[in-house]
Amino acid sequence: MARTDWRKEDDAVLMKPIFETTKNYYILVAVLVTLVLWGLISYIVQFNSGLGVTGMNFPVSWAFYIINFVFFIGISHAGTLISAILRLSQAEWRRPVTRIAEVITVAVLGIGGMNILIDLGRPDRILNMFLYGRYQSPLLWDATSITAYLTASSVYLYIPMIPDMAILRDNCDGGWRKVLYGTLALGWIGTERQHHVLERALAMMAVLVVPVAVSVHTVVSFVFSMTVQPMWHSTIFGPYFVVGAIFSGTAMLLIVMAVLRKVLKLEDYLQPIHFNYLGLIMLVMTILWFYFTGAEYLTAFYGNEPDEMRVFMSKWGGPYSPYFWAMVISCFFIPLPILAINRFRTIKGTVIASVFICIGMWLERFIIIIPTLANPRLHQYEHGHYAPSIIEIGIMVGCFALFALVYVLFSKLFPMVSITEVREGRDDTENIVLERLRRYTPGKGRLD
Amino acid sequence: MSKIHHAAEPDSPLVKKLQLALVIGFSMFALSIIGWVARLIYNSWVWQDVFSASIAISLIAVPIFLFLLSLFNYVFWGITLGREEEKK
Repeated sequence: MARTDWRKEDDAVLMKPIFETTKNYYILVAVLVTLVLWGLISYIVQFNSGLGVTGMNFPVSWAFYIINFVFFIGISHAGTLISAILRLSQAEWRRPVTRIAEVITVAVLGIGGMNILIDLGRPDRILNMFLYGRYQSPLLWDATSITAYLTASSVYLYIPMIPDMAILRDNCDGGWRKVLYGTLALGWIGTERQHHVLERALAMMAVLVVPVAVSVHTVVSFVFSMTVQPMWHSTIFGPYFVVGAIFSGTAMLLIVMAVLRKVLKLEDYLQPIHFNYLGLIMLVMTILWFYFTGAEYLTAFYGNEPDEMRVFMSKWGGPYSPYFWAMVISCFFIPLPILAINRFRTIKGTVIASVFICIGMWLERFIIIIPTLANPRLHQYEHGHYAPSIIEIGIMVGCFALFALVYVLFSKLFPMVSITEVREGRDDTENIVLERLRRYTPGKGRLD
Repeated sequence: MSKIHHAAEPDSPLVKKLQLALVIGFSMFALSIIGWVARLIYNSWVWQDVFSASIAISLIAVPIFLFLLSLFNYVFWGITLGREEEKK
């Protein structure tokens, strides 16, 4: 196969970070590796000394790690779910966005799952789950559904990448890159049969991943709602968690898009209209989140059940009220006007709203987990309190740095915007959209 | 541009072997998850430990992994055969 020069390709800017490495890249990787090492050292200390070095205690036996687990699994909805929905609805503007979103999913799912292992005082006992796991436990439902989602998301990320791998293979002189891209390209040369196979597989995957993604966060909520703990035992938790996941996932996607746009100079690909459309999706999710939060808290308040009210009041006006109100302000009162007013729904506006939403959604998970455990239903247990230790903070920083590092390394090996999809869009979109309009528009004769 | 050490054609035996390893590796992974779920069902049956719950979960999990296994193989063989046909 004749080698082409990537610099002369139409979308050379998408390949530039792969073939050229700047000094800033090394500095960024060094900083991220340092932070990951901080997390790793913190974990080694915890591993050697036991969970006593964390702020966790009795009865608050779940804290930062479980909060991060739920937060990362939530963010994972950014990718595959949004990408699949946009693909199924044939939204043409999706083309530069889908891969950025799908990579988030694969990166954070692994880190989310890792937080469960970190939360174990004896991680070696995880083997017992494989040997003697019992399917009555929602924790095992979690393990199964997250594995299914991670596998499905990885396949869903990989399949549309195959033609791009062939482009990269044809732009390499040789060496390990040629072997890597050649292997991943699976011998793609763009025949009609190959296109047919790929499109069919992608369509099937897009249908599969939507229910799998929804089920994952529903099952994550079951870990809480299947117990009879006050303010956890709620039928609304499944959809509430799913809405929260899509909400925080979209916010993280917007932040990552803005960073990549700036760093990789993708201004031509990630345009204000993409931020505007995703901003509108986020506006809908902001309102939905507020509705679910209102429904959840109003039901608990109106029931006036003493154990529930203790938890409720600790959030509403008690020791956890600063976090609760910070969550409401960050998730609703700040993003709502930014996203609702056209003039503010710019790149900068949507990113500001997204940062607040991510902080607010992390606080939401804090507010769900800690106050309930600190006010247990069984009265013989004393009320607890929780403050994270430096070990937990180190591990949390390490997890976030690991997410960024995985993302940076991925962007060094693979194009962050699908070259093939963008080319298809440029070459065929007009015909595809016109054909679609002809199919369903009344008075279609006028379109000919 | 990154340093390049030696040339390796896309159709080289190494690449073909790696491609085969990729599809075999994925298939093994999916099958081992199915095997794991089957083992948990077996355990619950032997220990009479809410067998119905294990069946209910596996009815969702096993088809998903079977689907992913089939789809990955469909893509791999479809693309490989597509190339072979073009060569002919």
